[in-house]
Amino acid sequence: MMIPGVYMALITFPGVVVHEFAHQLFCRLCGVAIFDVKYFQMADPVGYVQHEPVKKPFHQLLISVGPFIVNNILALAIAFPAAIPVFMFNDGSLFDFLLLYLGLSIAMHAFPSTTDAKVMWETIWHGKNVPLWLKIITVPITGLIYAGAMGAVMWLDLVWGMGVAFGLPILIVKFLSQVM
Amino acid sequence: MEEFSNRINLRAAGCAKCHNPRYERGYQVRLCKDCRRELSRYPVTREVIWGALGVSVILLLALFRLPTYFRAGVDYMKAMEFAKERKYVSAEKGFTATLKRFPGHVGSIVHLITASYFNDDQTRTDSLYSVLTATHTTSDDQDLVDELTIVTDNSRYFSIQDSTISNQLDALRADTTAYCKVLEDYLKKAPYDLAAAVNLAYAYLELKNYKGADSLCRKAIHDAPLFRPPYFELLASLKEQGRYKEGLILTQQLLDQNKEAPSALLTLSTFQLKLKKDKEALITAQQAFQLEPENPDVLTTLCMAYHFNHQQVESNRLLTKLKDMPGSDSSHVAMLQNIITDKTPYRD
Repeated sequence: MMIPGVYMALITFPGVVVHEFAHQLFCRLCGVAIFDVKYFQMADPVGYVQHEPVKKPFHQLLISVGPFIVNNILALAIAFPAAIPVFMFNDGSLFDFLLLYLGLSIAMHAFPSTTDAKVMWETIWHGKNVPLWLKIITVPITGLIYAGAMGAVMWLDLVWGMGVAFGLPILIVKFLSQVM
Repeated sequence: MEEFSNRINLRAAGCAKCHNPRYERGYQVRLCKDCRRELSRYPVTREVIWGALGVSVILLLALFRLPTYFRAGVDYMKAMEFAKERKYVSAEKGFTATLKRFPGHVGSIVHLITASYFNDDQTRTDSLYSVLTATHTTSDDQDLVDELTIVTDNSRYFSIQDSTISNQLDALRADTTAYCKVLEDYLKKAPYDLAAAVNLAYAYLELKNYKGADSLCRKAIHDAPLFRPPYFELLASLKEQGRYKEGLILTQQLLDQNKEAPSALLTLSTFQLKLKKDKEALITAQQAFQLEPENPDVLTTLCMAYHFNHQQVESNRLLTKLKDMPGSDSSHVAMLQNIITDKTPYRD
């Protein structure tokens, strides 16, 4: 079933807002000037943060992958307490399903966009005086972002979101039950 | 001229925002330090702040519930692991804790039924089965269905299938010979009724007909290897006959079904003591003690195991504990005292 990305983004808009907020947060932490922020719109792109070119290339890496860090952590924190009763004990309340919806929405938008990847690639790979280690780690990260973008056509973002919000809490509980 | 909504002029000679000529060097966009700082702290819109506050409240509520659910999840997973390892006493504790939090969880009820069955607690098995039936839930989990089938298949052997025979037997409790006759006749017609076989084996034991008891129990074990009562009857018979080595093998079969079966551990420890395997007997009795520290039978066996391992202080401490237990059997305690003071011989 094909659902245009913008409608999918509308259904999962909390994730878009958190995604843009994460870019904004890392701009602030890196002291990078922001010119404009759109948290959500019914257009392509569904959200953006327009910031100045960074002085330190590493800051671009942080700003680009910021949503991956923030969205995943927040999604896991929100979904964790609901995933246990729902998926382990088939005992979910309405509140649990709200938490799971939020967790799924936020985790689905954890992957940086291809625009994020392009900016990162231009800044780091083609940038001047960029340390080699940074260039090296940028290659797989950019590759993963593009793979994620291509996979979104096959609902990879949804699969990722379900994995983080529904599957990861159960895996963590299983793992901790063995070490505790 | 490139301009943004917040009056940024990228082609300005000075700071792109305030036109201050003292802009920071090394950046592509000319901004003075204050403007860059201000712009990096781009204001979050009111809607997003309200949304974030809402999510924060939800997150707080969620995190408030997290420890309880997390504990329940870990307990359940641990119990599952114990059940997989056939440590059913530990598994039973875990599933009981889970069911206190999630009383309708079918998986936990089924696992608990299995655990209580292998812990030889048929009363609890039956009552949990009633709970499961009352929930009116059908599980499409084939593994759960298979697990439950094992218990229900074996549980049917606990009652004599022909109720008229049961009623007849109730009236003949005092007359062992007549009791045996009824069961013998019934078993000729219904040799598949393992409950009748076990009842008859028990009666034979009372009459010291060990051969008859052994034969009935071995057939029942062969027909239903997971039906546990015949094992215990056969062990009792072997004990009476002094065939302790055979008893060791049989208890091992019981322990293969449930590594934490206290009654099997106690029997094993007793047989080990009889065979003068005192160190092994002490280890086995200690295992049983860890599982049921307040069980008088466990304390008795452990007390004897300490005695035969020359740990008299520990042995005396347990004897005192047994004496002080409310409702303790004084004749039982006196017998134990005689054994550990070597007044009564325990071994052949």
